Amino acid sequence: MSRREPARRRMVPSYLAAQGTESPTRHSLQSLTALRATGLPAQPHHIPGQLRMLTLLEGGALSVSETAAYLDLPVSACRLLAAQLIDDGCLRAEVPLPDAHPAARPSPDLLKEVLSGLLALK
Amino acid sequence: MGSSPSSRLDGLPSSAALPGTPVYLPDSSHRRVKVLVAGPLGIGKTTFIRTLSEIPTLHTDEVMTEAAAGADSLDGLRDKTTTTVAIDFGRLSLARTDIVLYLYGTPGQRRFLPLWEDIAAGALGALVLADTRRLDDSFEVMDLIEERGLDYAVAVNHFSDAPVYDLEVLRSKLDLADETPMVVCDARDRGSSLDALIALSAHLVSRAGGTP
Repeated sequence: MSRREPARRRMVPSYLAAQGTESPTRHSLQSLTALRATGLPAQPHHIPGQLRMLTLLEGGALSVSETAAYLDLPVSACRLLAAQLIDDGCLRAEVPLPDAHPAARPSPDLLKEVLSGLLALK
Repeated sequence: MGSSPSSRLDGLPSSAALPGTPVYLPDSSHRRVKVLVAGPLGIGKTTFIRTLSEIPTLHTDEVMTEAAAGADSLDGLRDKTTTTVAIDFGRLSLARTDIVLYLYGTPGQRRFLPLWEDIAAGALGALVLADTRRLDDSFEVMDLIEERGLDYAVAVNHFSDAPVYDLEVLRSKLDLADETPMVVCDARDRGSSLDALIALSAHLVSRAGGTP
C-alpha cells in the first residue's frame, strides 16, 4: 500500500508524522542530555517541529526537558525529533555527566560537591 | 502545535515568571544532575521549585496512556484513556562548582507510575514534601521512591493553619526509618527550602558511604 499523498495537508501532529525517522539515538537521550546546534543547516526532510527546535537552539544549549518545555512538546516527541537532527549532524548531544557511566549510581564525590555547592549558596 | 514558545501562561500567576526567553545553559563545560521534589497534589512542589529555581519554572506535558480500569472509573468506559500530566521543573547553578542542579516536581500518585521511570532515571535522590493535615497522602510517594531504590528526605511544608506536631510524633506517624532526615520547611522561603535540600544532600552523601 502506497503512503505517498504529497499534496495533502498533514492532519496529524507533526511528531506523529515523524514515522520512519525513528533512530536508536533517541534511547540515549536522557531528560538532562544537553542539545547543542552544530551550525549545520536544516535539510529538506526536516519537519516544522524540527525547524523550530533548530531555531530555539541557535541561541545556545538546553536540556531535552527544557527544549520540550519551550517547544510545548511531550518529552517523548522531543526525543524523537532531536534524535534525527543528531543523526543528521544538525545537533550534538552532550551527556549530563561526562565522566560517569550512565547507569552508575552517583559517586560519593559528586554528592559531596552537590552538598558543598548548596552550602555555598546560603 | 503552532503556538509560540512564549504562549504558555496557564497555571502560572501573571507575574514575571513566564517562560518567554530561553535561559540557555552555560557555554562552558558543566555537569547536570537532578533531584526529585515529590509529593501529593497541592503540597507545594511547584512553590518549592519556584523559590529555588534561577529560571522561570517550566513544565513539560507528559502524555500518559493507561488502562482506565481501577482508576477513575466511568460507567461503560473501560478502554484506555490518555491523561496529560504537567511536570514542573526548574534549575539552579551550585556555587563554587560546575554543577547545575535540576529540580523536578513529581506527582505522588501510583497511577502516574509510567512517568516515574523517566523522571526518576538518573536522579540523585528525592525530597518528599508532606503536610501535617494529610500525612497519609505522602505514604504512596514514599513507597514509589523506595521501589525505585532512591534515597530521600522528608520536608514537612509548613502551612499556617496546619496542626503543629512534635517532630518525633511526626516521624512515627510517617513510619520513617531512623536514618531518614526530616525537616520542617516553608516552601516560600529560599533559606528554608535550601536547608531542606542540604539535609537531603548530606543524607545522600552518608548513604553513598561518604562523610559529609
